[in-house]
Amino acid sequence: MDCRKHKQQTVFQDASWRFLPDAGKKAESLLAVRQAVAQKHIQKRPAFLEQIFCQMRFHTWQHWATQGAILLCVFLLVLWTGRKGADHTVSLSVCSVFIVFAGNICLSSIVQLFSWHMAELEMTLYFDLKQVVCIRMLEAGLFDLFLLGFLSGCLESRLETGIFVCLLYLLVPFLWSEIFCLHMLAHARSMASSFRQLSCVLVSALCALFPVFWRDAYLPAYRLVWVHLSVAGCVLLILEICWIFYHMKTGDRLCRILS
Amino acid sequence: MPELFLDRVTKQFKQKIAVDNVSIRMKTGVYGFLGANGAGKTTLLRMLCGILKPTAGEISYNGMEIGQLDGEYRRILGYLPQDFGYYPSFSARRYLEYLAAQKALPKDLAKNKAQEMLELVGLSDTGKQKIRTFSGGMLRRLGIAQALLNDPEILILDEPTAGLDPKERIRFRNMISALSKDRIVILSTHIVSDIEYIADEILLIKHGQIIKHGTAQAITESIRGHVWECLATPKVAERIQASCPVSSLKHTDGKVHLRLISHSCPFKGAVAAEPGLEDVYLYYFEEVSEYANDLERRIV
Repeated sequence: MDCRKHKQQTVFQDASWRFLPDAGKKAESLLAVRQAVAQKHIQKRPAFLEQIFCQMRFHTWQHWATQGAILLCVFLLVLWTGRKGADHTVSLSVCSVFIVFAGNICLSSIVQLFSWHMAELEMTLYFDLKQVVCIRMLEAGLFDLFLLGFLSGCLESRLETGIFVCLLYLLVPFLWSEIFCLHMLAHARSMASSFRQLSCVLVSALCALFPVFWRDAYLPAYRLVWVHLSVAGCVLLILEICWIFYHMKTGDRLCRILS
Repeated sequence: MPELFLDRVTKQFKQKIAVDNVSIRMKTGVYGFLGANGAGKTTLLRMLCGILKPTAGEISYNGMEIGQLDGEYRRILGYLPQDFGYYPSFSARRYLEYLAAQKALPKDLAKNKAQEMLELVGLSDTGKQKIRTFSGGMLRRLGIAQALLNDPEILILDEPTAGLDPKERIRFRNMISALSKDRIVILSTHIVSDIEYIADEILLIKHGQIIKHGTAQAITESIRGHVWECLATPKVAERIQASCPVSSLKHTDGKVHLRLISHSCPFKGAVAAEPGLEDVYLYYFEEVSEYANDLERRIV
């Protein structure tokens, strides 16, 4: 065995057994390899997180300015509600109206995808409309959650009702305004988009002001009604989103709108 | 080599059948879908892009159903819709970079590609301009640029030359012709000259069905003997016009020179003429047979 191994080693070490590389053929082969590499389509499959950052990269400065303005308004609102002698019902209602406005403004980045005939084109891209809508909804949802959490946290100390109760009072108008806005987006496409959204916001804001006119609304006795409204709102919002995604998948309704 | 296969594809919207049992196999080359408005061209193209799902039948790319391929199919697709979508607040370059990112092109490549495409369509000087300031022709060129961003194997263009001036139209035709190597280019139009010179195969679509397909030469040949030319007095010309599809009409020295489509000699003295693709369009989309019955009654 050792003898055979030794024999093999000597054969490989013997220079006379080696073929000197043909420089011309080597260059030819390398050129062929380079050409094959150049022709090869290198496919990139970006991760979901990368796609989120990519979407954020293409938001307009107006979008970021609006988000900044909303945050500034939240801080001003918190300062205003924290002043001495502030009426709790009015504070909660004003915060509700604010969250309705903020929610609808955040939703406008999704509405934009369905404007200017972009939906049809976006449906044919590698990252299609469904994925982009998902990302925009996630972005808007996270921002809204932050606003809801922050406002509830700040109001809780003043109202002495607990953070979840505050969250409930803010969540109900927010949820129903989002449902209304998405419903109008899906069903009232013939209406001018700016008019549609403005009317959604105004109607929702008026509804959110309801407790100012009926002050008993925030009494513990009616808390169960608020819970029911929030649960129903959650279910309806999910259904509305599913409905939009279903029609994006089949394309029928979207194309009828586009035609 | 890419291959697209439509197997008995049908699309129905409630009571209306927009595309009716269409079967065709497409390999590399330019395919021109020719048909009147409402013939079902756009619906067919939308199904080819995966926007609409066929009610019946299947569309497959290289043997795989396009719905199953999902993103991988969209990756090799370039589409210019009839109503071109854009964000007015974006500049042309930013818009192309955005779409390149959506087409999963790496960031560096996306920048280069955006610049390359702007140069290709002659918009490099206006790359920083907001799209809202663009004219109809510029928008169309931007649309063509975005469709080509990912160097697609399947390029689908719905009414691509709408809004382009004659010079741009010729430039576009030459560009498409040059691009057709190694890819499937599908062009939908009702403008005959758009596809006459560049389409390898022309498909005539009527009421959602492919009523005729073949090369431009074969299709024009199919109506040989149905195109006539004649010289008539204005009064007779008026009568003929009401009875036959007229593809051209020219007043000369008190007489009218007519070129018309008819199954049989429509007028004493009319001579058979060499058919063209415009005559084909009139022959198949103007219901010549209906005219023919009427003609028999009217012309003495």
